[in-house]
Amino acid sequence: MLNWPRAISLSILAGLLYLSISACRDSGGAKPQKYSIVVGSSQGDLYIWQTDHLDSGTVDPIAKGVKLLGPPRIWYYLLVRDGFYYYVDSKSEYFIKAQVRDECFVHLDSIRLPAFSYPDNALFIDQDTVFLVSHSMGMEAKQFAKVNVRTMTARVGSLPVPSPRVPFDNMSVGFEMWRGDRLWIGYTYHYANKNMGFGSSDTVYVARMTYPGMALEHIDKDPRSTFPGNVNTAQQNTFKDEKGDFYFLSSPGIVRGANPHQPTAVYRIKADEQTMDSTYFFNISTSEVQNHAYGLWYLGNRKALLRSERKDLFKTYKEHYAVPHIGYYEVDLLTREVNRLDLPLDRGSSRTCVLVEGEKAYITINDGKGGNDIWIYRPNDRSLVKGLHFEGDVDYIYRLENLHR
Amino acid sequence: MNISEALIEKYHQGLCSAKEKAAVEKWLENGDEPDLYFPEGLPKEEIKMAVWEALQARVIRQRESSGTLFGKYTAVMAAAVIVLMSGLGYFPGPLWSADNLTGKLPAALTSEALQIEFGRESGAVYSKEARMLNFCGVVKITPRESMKLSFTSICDGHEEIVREIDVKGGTTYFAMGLGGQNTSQLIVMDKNLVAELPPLLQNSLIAQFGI
Repeated sequence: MLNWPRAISLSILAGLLYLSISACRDSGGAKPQKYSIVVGSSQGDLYIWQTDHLDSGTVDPIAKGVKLLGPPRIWYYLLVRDGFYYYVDSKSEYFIKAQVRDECFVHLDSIRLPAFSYPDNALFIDQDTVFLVSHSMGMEAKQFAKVNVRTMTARVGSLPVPSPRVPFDNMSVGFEMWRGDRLWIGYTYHYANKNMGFGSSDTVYVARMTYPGMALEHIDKDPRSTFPGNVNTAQQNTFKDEKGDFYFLSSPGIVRGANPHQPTAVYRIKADEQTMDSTYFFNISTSEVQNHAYGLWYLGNRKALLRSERKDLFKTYKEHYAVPHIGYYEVDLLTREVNRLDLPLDRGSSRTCVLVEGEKAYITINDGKGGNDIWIYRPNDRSLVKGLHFEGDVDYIYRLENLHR
Repeated sequence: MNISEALIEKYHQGLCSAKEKAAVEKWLENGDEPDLYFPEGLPKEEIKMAVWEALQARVIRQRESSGTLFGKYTAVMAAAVIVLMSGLGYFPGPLWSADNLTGKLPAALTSEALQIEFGRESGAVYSKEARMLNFCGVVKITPRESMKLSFTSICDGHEEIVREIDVKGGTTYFAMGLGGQNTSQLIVMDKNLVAELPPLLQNSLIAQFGI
């Protein structure tokens, strides 16, 4: 029988595609820009603005930018790769490929991916391939979708990690790490029901599996923290260093794992080892930071930039998102030295707000008082200067990234 | 067996024999009565209110005991109370039973001021005069017009109130009273800000409401 809701969403999508293409003709003359920035207005509208320069000047990205049409929180699940934008439309369940062309956000192609409306994780594993992890399937197995974005074809299957068991009723995957013919998945289990309230297990799980066979080989379990990784499309906290050692941050704080009695910590999987490095555990919550954190970006030379909340400055989820309370620290992954950056307190529970390029880290700050700026941090001399300033009705700078990774 | 008024009364007093009880229950479940005729000129709304007030008292009492046929219809009746309560005063207390345990309730209910959908094991009563939504569990609400709305999460004797939130007409909100081991928080969140909640709460909302 015809599935009417799906048939209708399909035809609406087709209609939108036609409209957006017919409204914007590609002149072919526009030079591709280097960076992509997504901002939100106080009315909740989103805009993409592309530029070559972040180091100085003033711009109104809403006046100069292109309206980003899509689901309300499209920025959270947006992927930017090689000049294109990708996201799953949560209503139609289509994974959409789009591009900014002549002042328009144009849909180019799409493939239907049910169960991936709000992916836990999404990562490009090569130029043409993105690997998505589904949102929770309740007690059922997590799904993966490996999508070829050139042909817009997908292979969908189940992740070979154990499904939730009572008392847990859902799970989430916080990172995927690729090394040779192996895939590593960081995950944990959750409960959300009337009797127990909500929260996570008290364990970080890391599973290693073959690829492309997807056969489970080994699971590491570490009870010192929980919720390894993050929703990586929104905010990042994993990376490989110069030696290929992989680091990830756990996120037990209230806006991710919701198990705040456990500490936020940095873990490591060494490049030449097949299990987690159990001797390495960098406890962020008991360090000078004294708080939970959710964002971590690699600066080079063993240093990383940490984005952490301030528990004394918010009370509710809404305040966590809306009130300026977030600070940045440079952390040394080996010596555990911590240095606070002298920046205004920042807003937004999670944002794609740091871009590291060479010796510079570009950090976007929304201080809630009109100070919407890109700051430039140089780890070499720990200098901090203000770069590009955003004027106009900018509420949040949601994303800053290289358009041509 | 002829189901007389006297027999029904006897049933409610718990004085029926097993055979009589079975006959009454069969009659109740079959529900093939012809449509009732409501005479014109009678104050229909007032009578409805009186009926529901009586039923509501019954629902609460029945919740405290349990096990008879009446309990089976408790959820449906209490759900209907949600719609009809809007003209009444403040909801009298924390005992209630508007829930979605049976899975047979309508997915959404509409009152004059709000459209409400229920999550699992959830229920709600809206008081128009107090502009207060008393609820347990997770509910999805869409106010028809912008207003100040207060929320009380009442579950298992635990009560938490959030007063006078500005809600926009036509905007959808989730209200969650999910006190846990680690947190006790009544959350009211614009649907578009759901992404700011922990993924485990998002997962739960996706599973319950198919958002």
